[in-house]
Amino acid sequence: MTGINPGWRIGALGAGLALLTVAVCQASPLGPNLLPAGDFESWTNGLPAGWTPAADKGACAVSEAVCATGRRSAMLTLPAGGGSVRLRSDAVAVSEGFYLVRFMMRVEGLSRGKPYEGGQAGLFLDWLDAQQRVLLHEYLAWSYVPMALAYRDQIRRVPAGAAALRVVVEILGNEQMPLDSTAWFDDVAVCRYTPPTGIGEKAFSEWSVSDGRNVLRTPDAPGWGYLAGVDAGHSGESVQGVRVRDGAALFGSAMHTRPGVPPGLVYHSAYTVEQPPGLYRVVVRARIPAAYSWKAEAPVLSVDALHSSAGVRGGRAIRAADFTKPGEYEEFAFDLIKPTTGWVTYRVSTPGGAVESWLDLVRVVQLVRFRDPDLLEWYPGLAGALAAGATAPGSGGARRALLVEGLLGSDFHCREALARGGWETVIASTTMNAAGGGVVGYPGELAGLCSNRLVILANASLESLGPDQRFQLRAFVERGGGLLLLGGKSAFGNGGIRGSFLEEVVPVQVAETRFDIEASRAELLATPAAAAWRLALDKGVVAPFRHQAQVKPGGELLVRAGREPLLVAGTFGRGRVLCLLATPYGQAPARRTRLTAWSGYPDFIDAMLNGLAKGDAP
Amino acid sequence: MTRQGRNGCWLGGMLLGWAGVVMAEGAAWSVEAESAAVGRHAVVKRVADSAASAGQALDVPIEGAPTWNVVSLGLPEGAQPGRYRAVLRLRTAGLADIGRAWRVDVRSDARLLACRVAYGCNLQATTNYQEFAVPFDWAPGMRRPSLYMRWTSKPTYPYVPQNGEGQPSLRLDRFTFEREGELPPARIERVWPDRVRYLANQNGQIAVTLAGLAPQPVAAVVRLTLTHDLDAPRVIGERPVMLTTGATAEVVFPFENPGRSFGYEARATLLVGGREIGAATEFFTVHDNPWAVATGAADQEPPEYERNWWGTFYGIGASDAEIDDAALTARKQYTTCTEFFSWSPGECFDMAPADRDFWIRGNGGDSLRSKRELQRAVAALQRQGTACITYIAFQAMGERTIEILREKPEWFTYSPMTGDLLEFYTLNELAKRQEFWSAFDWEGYRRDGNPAAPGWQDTPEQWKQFKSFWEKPAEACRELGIIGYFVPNYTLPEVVDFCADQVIASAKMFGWDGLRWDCGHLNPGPIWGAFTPYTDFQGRPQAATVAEMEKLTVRNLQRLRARIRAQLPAFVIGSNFGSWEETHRYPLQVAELARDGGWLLDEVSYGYHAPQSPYHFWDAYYGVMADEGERIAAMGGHYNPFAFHRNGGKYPVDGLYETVFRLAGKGHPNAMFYNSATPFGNYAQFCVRFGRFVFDPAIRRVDRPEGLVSVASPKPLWWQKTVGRLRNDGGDWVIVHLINPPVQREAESDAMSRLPAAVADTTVTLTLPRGARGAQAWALTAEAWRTGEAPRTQAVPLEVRVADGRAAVTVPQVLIWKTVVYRIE
Repeated sequence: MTGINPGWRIGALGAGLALLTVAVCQASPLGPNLLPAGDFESWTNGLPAGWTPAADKGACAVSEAVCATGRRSAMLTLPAGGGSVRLRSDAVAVSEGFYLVRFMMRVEGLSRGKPYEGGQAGLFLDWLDAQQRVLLHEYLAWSYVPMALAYRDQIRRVPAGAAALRVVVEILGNEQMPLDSTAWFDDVAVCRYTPPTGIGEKAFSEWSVSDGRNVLRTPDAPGWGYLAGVDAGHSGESVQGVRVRDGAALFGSAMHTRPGVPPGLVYHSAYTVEQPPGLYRVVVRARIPAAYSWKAEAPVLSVDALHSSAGVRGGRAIRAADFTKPGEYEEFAFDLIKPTTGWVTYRVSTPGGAVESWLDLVRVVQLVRFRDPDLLEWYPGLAGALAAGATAPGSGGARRALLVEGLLGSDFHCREALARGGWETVIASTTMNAAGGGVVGYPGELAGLCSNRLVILANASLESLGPDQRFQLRAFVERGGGLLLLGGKSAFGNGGIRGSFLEEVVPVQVAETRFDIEASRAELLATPAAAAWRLALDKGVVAPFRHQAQVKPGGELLVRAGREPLLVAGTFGRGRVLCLLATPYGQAPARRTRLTAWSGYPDFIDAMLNGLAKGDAP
Repeated sequence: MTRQGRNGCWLGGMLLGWAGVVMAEGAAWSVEAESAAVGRHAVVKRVADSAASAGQALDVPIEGAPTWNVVSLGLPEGAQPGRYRAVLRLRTAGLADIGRAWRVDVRSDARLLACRVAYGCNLQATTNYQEFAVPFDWAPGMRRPSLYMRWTSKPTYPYVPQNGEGQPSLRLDRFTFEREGELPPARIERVWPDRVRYLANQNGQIAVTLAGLAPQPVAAVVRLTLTHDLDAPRVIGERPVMLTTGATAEVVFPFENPGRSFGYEARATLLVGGREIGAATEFFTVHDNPWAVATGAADQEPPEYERNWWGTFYGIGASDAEIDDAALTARKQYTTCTEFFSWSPGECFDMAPADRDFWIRGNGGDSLRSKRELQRAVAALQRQGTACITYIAFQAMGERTIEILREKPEWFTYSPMTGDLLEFYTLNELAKRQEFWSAFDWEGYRRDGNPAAPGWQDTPEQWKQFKSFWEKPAEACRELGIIGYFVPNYTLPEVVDFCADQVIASAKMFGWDGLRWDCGHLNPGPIWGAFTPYTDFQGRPQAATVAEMEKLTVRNLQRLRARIRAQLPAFVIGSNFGSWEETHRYPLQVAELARDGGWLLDEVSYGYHAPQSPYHFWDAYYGVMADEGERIAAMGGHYNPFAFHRNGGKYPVDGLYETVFRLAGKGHPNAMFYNSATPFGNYAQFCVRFGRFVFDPAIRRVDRPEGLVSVASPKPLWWQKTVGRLRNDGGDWVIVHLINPPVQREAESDAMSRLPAAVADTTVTLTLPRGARGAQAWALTAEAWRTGEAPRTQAVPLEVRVADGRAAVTVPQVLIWKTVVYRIE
């Protein structure tokens, strides 16, 4: 549960945050929220304005304990077992085009951790025709397991004939649902989305082919090509397409779906982490026979994108009628938001049966790259969620620390140091690599984070956290928490600092590359400023591999490796930050000692921890 | 009145009764199936049937029937030992040609005397009553035999009713035992070369086991002949032996290896008074490269239970006896070569765990492996002649790899996209693994889990405790997973050398004959999917282009091979990069992989059965198998196309044909079809015997064979893609694989596994090359020579009719596959 702090509204983020915001080069594609009641701020007689409750079990109530925007959210509760409880919004008029539908949800109960062995909570869409009859009933996003307050969203195209949209938030139980369940909903929004134009629209002939055989590069925007007819990586027996030679395809081959195959995947790309967070356009190049006998309105191919943590990111069905020149390749696009790092896979499927198609390419073009502050335009509740956390760092105990370890992060021996110092330590582990990322044991909400006095990221990437968690970490420091960043392949240049909510928190300017680690034989030397931290070094201590970084104005250099910085202190708000640019890697040359193997290292790390704990926290 | 016997069989409660026995003429006994003399399970009902001999029959449903015996019947009192036929008068409906069917075992106590299965392909094509005979020998000293009958549960393919074909059904009308005569005074029980595969310079022994059947001792002579390829048989020796009733004797002949590669037939004949009274054969092969003769097939309908030897070699807690037994089973299945998949703690960076007795395997991360068990398994298999290949993954894994990462981060590959290590890791799994080791019962291990520990007693009780000890940690380990896959930076020669040294140390520790590199093979860039260069620790591309990556890969392979072979000259090296798609995209890599007897596994072909695959049409599958087999063989390699789904097609007919097409295309198939109860024979045995004419890399396919060979048959056979020419010191050979094509055009489309009618009188005509005087010819076969006969691996000389520069032969019958071989004179 989180409290309320109205002072942390998005509009009151302060000048520092505003400086981080990167302006989109054209007008924002996102219109205002057409569903003003989606903030659940207005309630009458126990019911939210603009919403109609329906339940065969359970109840709906206002919650002031959890909120993303404003001060309130809607709380649905459903006892264990079957039944459902839902809130249905008033209809919103829509017109042809696209809309972003988003909502924040927090869930307790549902299941004992195993999906599909309990209930589900989420949001669906009722597209209405001019007579307010339901034209199409679509699921937007669901959870089958408990989750912290987080966004779910998709950009959706208005179905043909739809004149209005009604959103429904719901808990749907079943007889197996073992627990009483609660779901909080906030910032439910329907915003007109205007696809940016003029980006990545060059014709194929203008694309250049890299030295590789099938990697495409766009001349006018970052782009990626996934050639269904060439990519052999994901064409197992479960795929309903077969690779065939096709002179009209970009590289001479395509994925052919013959008539008569069952419904299923035609192609899916690798699970790729190539695209950074941002707004993207996915373009499918496909063709159908010049003459066909099935109905023009029947879907021929469906395409979508699946994200490792945000789920399905939108998609579209391509109908025969969408082809203006049957027999020739044509392009079909949809836009999606990749809100955070993690893998994405692009999937194309066939309805099977009579239809026949050739799939050449799925290309992805970056329309807007998101830095963390940009996300606030798309997901304003990121800041609102923080507003709910009123606690100060150390609320769980003056000597309580959260240690987040990445690969070889334990080589910094923080656990031992914290134990020596009498710290109560919560340990989380993080993984951030080419297969995506994730963190285990890290608090999902600010209150949990602020129960600690110190947070240590030992070779742990900020990219493994969600943007809301990064925002909370920034707030944690600003409120007086201590933050220690330790090096490694998942830290600093490759640690997700650049462009993140933490960029201005750290006292070093990290290198403009993910490959910022260099070998070093230079001896470590303490600067005069180190004395205030009670840091001392013997002769002959080295960090065989260290990060390249520069001390920011205001940063305090405590230890250097030759002429380069190795340990830098800084402050942000009321908190202190230390950046140790050493890594766990390498061996010391002859007659030298690696920092973490040096006999004085325990005192060294103790001093760092003690110094951080002296922050200005109340 | 039934009871369940010790073997889990339903035994007839009326075995001794024989109420209602009808004495037939001569030494024969008949009984109506519906009589009280026949023991039967409750699901079996007596029904009126006007076509049955007494107006009644037993109806034997498959629905509701248990998997054990449901009908049983013993020979009547007064019957005497001798040579017998048990004849069932039965009728069936809805029976697949190969599928679930009615199995008849003849047993004397626990000993199986004979077994036959009434598959559709073993019956006349009629739904009327017919006779189904099971011959057997009842030797003196054995208790009176009985028939035990049940629905088979194997082949493992479930019967899938389609298009209203319904379930198979059976009516049993009458049982007859016919005594055909006396047994011979002695017989050969087994001919047993001590290995299934010998190295070219390796001698051995061939044991012949004999049994006496006569009341008086019999003086006999046993003669052993060896036949290599299609040479004339060579007598190895003759030995006198005295045989007494109920006793066995073993005569051992030396095998002095002349060093000629490929297959041999060892044939023992038993002579009494100068007259041959029995014969038996066994087969073995000779080759230094185990992949040149790689084969092996498990019986889908084994007469007796066979241990699943894979299970023994893929876990922890196997006793020495179990390992030896599993190795023997592998050898009986003609397994000339096998692979130990993902056993190592860290694959390419941790292949020789000198300081650990057991560990969690790196790949999968979910099972414990034991050094002792692996060493013993390899030794036991090699004693049987089965070569052992170690699997190695392209990725490094396990805790030791993380230690190497700490010291040498530049030895690894990084993602240009994330900057972090390729491919993935998960610290959560690392933590779980650390917890597993913390909780491990080390004291219990020292007491019960380590046969090498001081005080270990080689007793059944100790082995029982040993097995019991390992159950718990093995179960706990199954909850764990992979720590990570880390891609080495193979552009660095020191990394290639380190991997080579790991292989060398591992081979010395365990005895490996070779390796198969999976998921890649020292390639510093992706070889599947889109090409995005790998980057090194500093973010530089390891190979910026496909061409550069391929060039570096070839360099690495050459370096690896040279370093390993400097210490292990016979070590063989393979990879899984043999598909049409792969070999055509990266020809230089493939040439290097295939060179000098390399192994190329085709892992793409396991999806060829799928309806969307162009190769799921049998003619296309036949073509691609032949094309790819020739392509790889021409480069000096050995082709290993994976079976559909990796473990065989959906229906038995799919398994049968995919095996035939892969073999005829010079492939070394995995999951080979073999069903000893069908007439199609044992293809693994066939390959051991006639590997020269299947696998010899010197066989070159004749791409437009019509000018060399013609085939005339009443019904078209497939042969054009699989005509080969072999020139060696044995002669100039032409090989023509004759395949009776599948009934269905597409794979996995026939739940009834319909088989084609046998093709009679196929004439093969060879146009003799200029200067040739004539030709000799043989038909090589694993299947029955003619319908109704038992399958037999043999070479049958064919009469050659030479006229007008052509040499014509006639093959009397092709069931599924026979091979005509000419030697041009």
